[in-house]
Amino acid sequence: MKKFLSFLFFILSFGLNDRGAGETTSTTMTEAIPTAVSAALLEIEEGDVIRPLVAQYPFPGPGLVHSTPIVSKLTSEADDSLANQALDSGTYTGSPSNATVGVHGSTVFLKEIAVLGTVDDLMAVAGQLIGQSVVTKRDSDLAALFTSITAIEGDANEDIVPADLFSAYNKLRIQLAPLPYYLVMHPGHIWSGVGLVNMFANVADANHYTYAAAGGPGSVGEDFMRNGWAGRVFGFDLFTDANIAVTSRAGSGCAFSRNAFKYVPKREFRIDVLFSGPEVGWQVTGTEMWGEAVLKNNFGVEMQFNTSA
Amino acid sequence: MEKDQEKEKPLGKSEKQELEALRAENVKLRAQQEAEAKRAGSHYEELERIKNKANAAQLKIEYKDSDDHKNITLYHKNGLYIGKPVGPLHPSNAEQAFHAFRRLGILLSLTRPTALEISEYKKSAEYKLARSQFDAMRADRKKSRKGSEIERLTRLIAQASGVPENQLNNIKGPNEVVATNQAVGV
Repeated sequence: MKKFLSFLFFILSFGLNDRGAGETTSTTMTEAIPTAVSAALLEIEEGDVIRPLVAQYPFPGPGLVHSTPIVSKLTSEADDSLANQALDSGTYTGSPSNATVGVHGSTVFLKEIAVLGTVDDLMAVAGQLIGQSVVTKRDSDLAALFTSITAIEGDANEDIVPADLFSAYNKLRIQLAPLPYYLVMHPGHIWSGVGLVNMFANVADANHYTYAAAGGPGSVGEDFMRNGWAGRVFGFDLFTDANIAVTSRAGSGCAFSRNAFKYVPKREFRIDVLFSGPEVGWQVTGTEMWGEAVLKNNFGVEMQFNTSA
Repeated sequence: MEKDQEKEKPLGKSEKQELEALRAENVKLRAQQEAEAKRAGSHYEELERIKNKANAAQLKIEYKDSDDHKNITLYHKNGLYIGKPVGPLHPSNAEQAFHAFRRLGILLSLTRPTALEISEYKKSAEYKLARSQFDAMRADRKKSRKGSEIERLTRLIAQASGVPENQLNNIKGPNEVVATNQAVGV
């Protein structure tokens, strides 16, 4: 009898272990199993690319328009009876350069219940996003100045070739723009199928620069191949800026000297936090005050080319 | 033939009744299905109405940009780059850009030129001249400075043999190749 009962128990245990026989699984207990929420990842924005490359004129005092006069040069005479020459800041084309300061900022209203209910420190998240948005705004404002430069290389449907860069260098040099020269381009101007990197493909002609036997230096191509990047090309310090606007594949970068543009900061970035009793939440506001303008138009060359094939 | 005749045989009374019953059931099931769909639809609509009515503001975090000015985009109204945008710029920078381009004979405007205006301008002598100069410049920049060794040799062979250059290197495309017996003169 005992043997029969143990045999029966053995058979039943197999039967009870079959699927669908009242097992407790993560599915049956879903409602009791918590979901872990990790700290949020914030959307990335392009940073402060252009500001360090342009002339800076801090403007803390009174006034909202920052004016930079440009004095015309004198002409040396070969005569023992010299004529008076006036120091004139009114005849130089584009003088004075005026930048009007404005307020730029973002504001977020954080409901207290959202702050209490969120895993993340929502105040810190808001602050970081506000800060990022202000930096992006500044970079975009400076990038937009590229299109107001009157010297233009390329066109809306043109691919960049080495001669365009040499021409830009030539224009800056003729205008006596002081070194170094910067080249700020959209990432597509550099790495796309029609970008700068294609000039260093293994093709032996004058539009490609690969190795000494082809007539050009190979180390820049090696930098692109090794690092995906070269800090200096064709005499320009190269920078990439995703804040450059692209319209129908075309974007406008710029080759320029420092004094082509000016950035006029009036008040640095500040966060203000105010609690609103009736709204039961915090108004978090980040603001900064600055102005930007073209300083010397002939120290820049707009580079308008395709950013993709 | 016999099988076809069997198929054309008229339905018996019981078969007719069965067919009618099936048709009636089909209509009933369709009606049931439509009613279910309507109920599901109204159920969904009710959920939406509840959400809208509830207006759960604690789930929303308002965000607003604040600038004390509005940036302006200007457009080229003439010249090689007609229709090209300038900006968006601070209003004072827009004025300075306007003057800078005006000195070069380029008019900027708040109004974007229409496709018709652009196409009309492109027929003008002024634009055609600027465009032809630009295209010539681009063609010159894009061509290889070194030139091709094959082209040089072809030129020399053509001069020595008296055969025109286009016949020396006249390689036909795949759609131009014909069979030997179809070739001219064979």
